[in-house]
Amino acid sequence: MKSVMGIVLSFFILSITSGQDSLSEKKVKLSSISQFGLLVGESGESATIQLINGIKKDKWFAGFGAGIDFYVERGVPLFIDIRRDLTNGKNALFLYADGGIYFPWLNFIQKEQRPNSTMAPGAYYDVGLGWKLRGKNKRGFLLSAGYTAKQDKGKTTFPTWNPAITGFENTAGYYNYKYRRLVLKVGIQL
Amino acid sequence: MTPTLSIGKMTALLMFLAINFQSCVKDTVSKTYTMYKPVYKTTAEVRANIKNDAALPVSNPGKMFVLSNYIFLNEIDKGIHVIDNSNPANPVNKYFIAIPGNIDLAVTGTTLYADLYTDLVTLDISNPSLVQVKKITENVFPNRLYSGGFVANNTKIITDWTKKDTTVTEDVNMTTNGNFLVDASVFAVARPGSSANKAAVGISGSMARFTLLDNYLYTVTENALNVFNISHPQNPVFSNKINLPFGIETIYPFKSNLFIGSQTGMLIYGTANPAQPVQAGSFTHARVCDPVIADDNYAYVTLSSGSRCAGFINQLDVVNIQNLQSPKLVKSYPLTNPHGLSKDGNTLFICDGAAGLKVFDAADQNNIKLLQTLDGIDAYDVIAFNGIAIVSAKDGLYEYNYTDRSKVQQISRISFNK
Repeated sequence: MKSVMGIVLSFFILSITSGQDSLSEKKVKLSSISQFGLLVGESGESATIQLINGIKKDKWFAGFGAGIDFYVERGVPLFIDIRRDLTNGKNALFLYADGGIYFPWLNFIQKEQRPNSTMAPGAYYDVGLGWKLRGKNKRGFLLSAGYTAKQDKGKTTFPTWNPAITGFENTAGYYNYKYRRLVLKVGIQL
Repeated sequence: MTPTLSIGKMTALLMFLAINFQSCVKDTVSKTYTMYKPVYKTTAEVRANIKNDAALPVSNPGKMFVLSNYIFLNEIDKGIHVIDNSNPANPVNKYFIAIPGNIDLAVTGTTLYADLYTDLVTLDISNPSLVQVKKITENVFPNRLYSGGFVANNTKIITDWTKKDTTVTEDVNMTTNGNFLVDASVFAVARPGSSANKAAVGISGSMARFTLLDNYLYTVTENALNVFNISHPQNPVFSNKINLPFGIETIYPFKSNLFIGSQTGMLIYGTANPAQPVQAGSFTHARVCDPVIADDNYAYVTLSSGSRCAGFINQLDVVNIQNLQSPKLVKSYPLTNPHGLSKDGNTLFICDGAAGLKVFDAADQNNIKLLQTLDGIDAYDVIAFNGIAIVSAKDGLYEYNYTDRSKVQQISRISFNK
């Protein structure tokens, strides 16, 4: 988990430096996106925060992202983000697609709820449509809506009554969790 | 021409997305686990198969009964092993009698009584190599459960279990916010039965739920004492049922009395009228497991805690029963996790769980002295007679020579196939 947090921290540093770049949009340019999202799913509402650092040229952007997803269980998604503006002008419509790995990072209570368990990462994706308002110094205000899913796996051991041997034996249960949500995000792109 | 987007159009798009993706918003968990499914046979198939089969390895021993040169050892819910003990230094596992649902047995003369789930089977064992079913008394043990508390299909009998890996997908919110739960079918067999892994003795034993006294077979269930008239041993007749408090575990006969061990005490029933035993006295203790044996003046009760037994007491209680109407505690002796016990003369054997088999000098009930601890075995029950102690332990059936009780020695062992 320390390595994951290290990556997240590096994105913060990159996001500061990328904001100082002033190359033309026709050229490859460093760019950083910071987002806050509202997640809505079957289990209720929760939040996510994300940082994405990458490069942009013309209508395209590609970068690496990291975040924290608090929906049901806390975890860290690490992903690749690709997005493209669909329109020109001050207010641009864009499409985005994220894909990567979700690392569960359970808090104390969540760990207590899953005794004798080990967790493993699973897939993560997020696709959606957004609206970009261009501001001063080529900063962009982002509003997007999408569909996102995170997945993780658990293994837990527990004593089970085995009638074949008339006694308890330790058995393992394997669990594959999938959380599918709608997400509404706001953010800025530097 | 490059299109532009108004705020109204954007809002409409977001609403479109929300509406169309709503049905896809599901939180699910796929669970893969092992479950056990019963293998059923019809009653007719099971009854036709009760005969001598080739010996099977002992896996899950239950009660045991010794008659002459033979040890009859229950394989829980499967049947009875017939072990030739002509030479205690070299016992031979000779036959297996398949009796599904069997956990209790008793032997007298040439007749063996065994439960077959809810029925009582009477077998002629005059020739142990060729046992024969003489009678099946139906439904005399209603409300029987298989080990683990499993309730069977009423019309059939469970003869085996198969292991199966199963995957189910369900809503996360049905599993208490994602907690790890096991399928209900597994929980259906997730509690140990009252007789799990407890070996039993016969006449001088302590864990039996079947016992014989004169012309009667007495059996106890969780809350009843059943009486069978065995004047004609191979034609037992169910004659009476006496209700008892819930939590009955064992029954032990001595002279004309029946000592019944329950989770809350010891009940003493007199058999002046053997068809209608009447309570003569009782001794109450904390809620624990308590096999009991007795002699002329004293009853010996081992109290143990554990996964099935409540409480935190692990000790031997010696109870004065000279006045049956008013048993009195003489003294308690601390133990580790006692189970079965047996007494031959002044030599008292106690199976003290993982602490091993303990041998005591019980000449003075106020000062019972430990003579020897035979450790290295997880002992459940013991039958001691004629200088040989037969001990059912977690990993095998042991025999010890105690003709010199200050130096009890192991003389043989049949390993269990765990």
